[in-house]
Amino acid sequence: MIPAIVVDDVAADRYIARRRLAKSQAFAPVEESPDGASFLERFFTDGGLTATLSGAQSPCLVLMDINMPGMNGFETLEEMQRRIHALPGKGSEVLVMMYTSSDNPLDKSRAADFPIVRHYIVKPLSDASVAQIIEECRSARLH
Amino acid sequence: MSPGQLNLPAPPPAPDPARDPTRDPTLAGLATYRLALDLCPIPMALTRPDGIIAMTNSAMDHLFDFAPDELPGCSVDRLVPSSIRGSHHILRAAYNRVPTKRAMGHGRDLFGITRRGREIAVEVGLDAVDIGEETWTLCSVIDISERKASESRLMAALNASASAMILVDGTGAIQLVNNAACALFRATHDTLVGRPVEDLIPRGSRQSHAVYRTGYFTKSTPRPMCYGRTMMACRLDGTEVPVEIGLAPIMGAQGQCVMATISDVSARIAHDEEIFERTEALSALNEELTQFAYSTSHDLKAPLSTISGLLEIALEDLEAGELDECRATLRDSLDTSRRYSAKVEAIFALASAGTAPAEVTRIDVAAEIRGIWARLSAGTDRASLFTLDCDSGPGLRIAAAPFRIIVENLLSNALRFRRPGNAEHSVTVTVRTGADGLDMQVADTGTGISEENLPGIFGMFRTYSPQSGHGIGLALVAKHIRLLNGRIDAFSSPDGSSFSVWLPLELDASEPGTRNSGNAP
Repeated sequence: MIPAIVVDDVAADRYIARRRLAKSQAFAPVEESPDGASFLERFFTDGGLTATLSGAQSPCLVLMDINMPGMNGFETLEEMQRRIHALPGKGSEVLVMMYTSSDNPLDKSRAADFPIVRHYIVKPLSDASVAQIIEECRSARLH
Repeated sequence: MSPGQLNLPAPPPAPDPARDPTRDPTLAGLATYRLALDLCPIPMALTRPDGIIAMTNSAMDHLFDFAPDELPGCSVDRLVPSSIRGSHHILRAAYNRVPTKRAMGHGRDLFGITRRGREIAVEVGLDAVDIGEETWTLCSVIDISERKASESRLMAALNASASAMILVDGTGAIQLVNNAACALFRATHDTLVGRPVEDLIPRGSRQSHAVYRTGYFTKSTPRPMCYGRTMMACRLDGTEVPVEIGLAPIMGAQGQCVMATISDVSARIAHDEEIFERTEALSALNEELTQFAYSTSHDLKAPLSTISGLLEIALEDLEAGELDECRATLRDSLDTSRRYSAKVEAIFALASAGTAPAEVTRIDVAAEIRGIWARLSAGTDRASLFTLDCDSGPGLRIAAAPFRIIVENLLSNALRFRRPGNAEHSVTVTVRTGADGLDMQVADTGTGISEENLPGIFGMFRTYSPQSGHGIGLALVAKHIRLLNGRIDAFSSPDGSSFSVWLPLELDASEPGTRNSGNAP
């Protein structure tokens, strides 16, 4: 199973993502964070998500929204990368996919600059997008 | 002595016929010079050490309008303008002390005076000749009136040019400048002429310029200097000015020269820079508008994407017979669409703000603020302490509708951004009425605004915390205040945030009017 976490300030969008991932039966556990700060706290705190992921065979999928109050998606990713660099060996455990309704070329370009970002998914999340995500995660199996 | 009369020394004694020229070296020399002068087409005169003219030739007589044999016996001072005649003997005496062959009045314009008093521009050559035991002076005089007139016409033409023009000879010395060059370099003709042209080049480029100049003289064709690139010229006071320079070779009396035509391009460069800055500003504005369009597009599209996603799930639940799930999803969808509707209305309110004149009416400011607070706080489940300190009485003339929008948004924010878990939350509104305006401060003890977010809070769609709304309220407040020619400032501290607003008041009219500082969208 592929562990996943949805980072989005809109509860309905988190619900949609959760339902779409659940429908594929390929993701578990599926976590949610309503903003970047709470995601970072859960992901990097000892005993938090990183501990959950330690036994996973697949990298963790992070669906990251861009436009969020407080830290936006890009600021969250910058901080995430900074912390990952401080934890050698942790980078391969994460596959980030932007999950946004923005089709701004600047956002797409900026997302492409993050090495840990694999795809740019425009909302709403479709079954086809989920199938693509599963393929991506399986090709990057850890064990 | 009356004008025209000259007090001249006595003419030399007439030659003694008894003297034999073949035995008298003086007479032999004079005869030789007599013959030479008669044969010479150039006006010439032979003068004694005391300045008395011993002989002239016909060209000399003709140049100065004298009859033959009229000048011999006269002082040569008779032929110089009256302005320097009195001191001419000093110059003659100086020459007599060092009688060498040279041009007279080197570097100065010389003039002769004719018998009729007409001044003529001349060049005078002096040559010492030995006559017997004395040293006499052989003067050659060339009429340069025509040349001077040509030069004068040339200078007039050069001075008519708006471009600075500088003539430089093969040694790099400035031979001629026009008035525009003097103006450009803030110098006089005298201070520029004769000076090395490198003095007008910035200090760091002088050596290389001398090399380029020498190279140009060896193969000179008309061309722009630095091939059209703007270069700097240096004034004598050290200030620099951007110029464009054209070079043209000229073969002059002094040999090969180069005429440099210099245009001051500082105004053009300033204009270009202004255009460039405007273009940059417009480009930035265009980019900002593009991003604004994307941002607006995103903010309008996001709820539709959510509704679309929810409806797809609701449909799946319906087909699967999961009616409770379906019902809950439809409710979420409905909530999203309602919020979306409110957002669209907020955007419309922002877009339409100022499109119609705001009606100025008499309102009770305190009552208005209390009413808005009552309505807003009724919709919350947590109590807040509200304090209003207002010194204005009823009947203040103000643009009422914008005022209500401003108060409503500021109070809404003050109510919403409370500290999590903080039981005590207070909002204080202070109003002070001045001579021509109203000062209002809305302060709260909420979360405050971080220093990095403070500058951007009046922008559209700026949201910084989960308590944020659509990110339109403060943009709407700022737009109304701008249209009313008012001011707003935001402050934040660990104790909360405060907004300080100043709005102009209508003081003189007794009837309701309208106030609208513009119809900016």
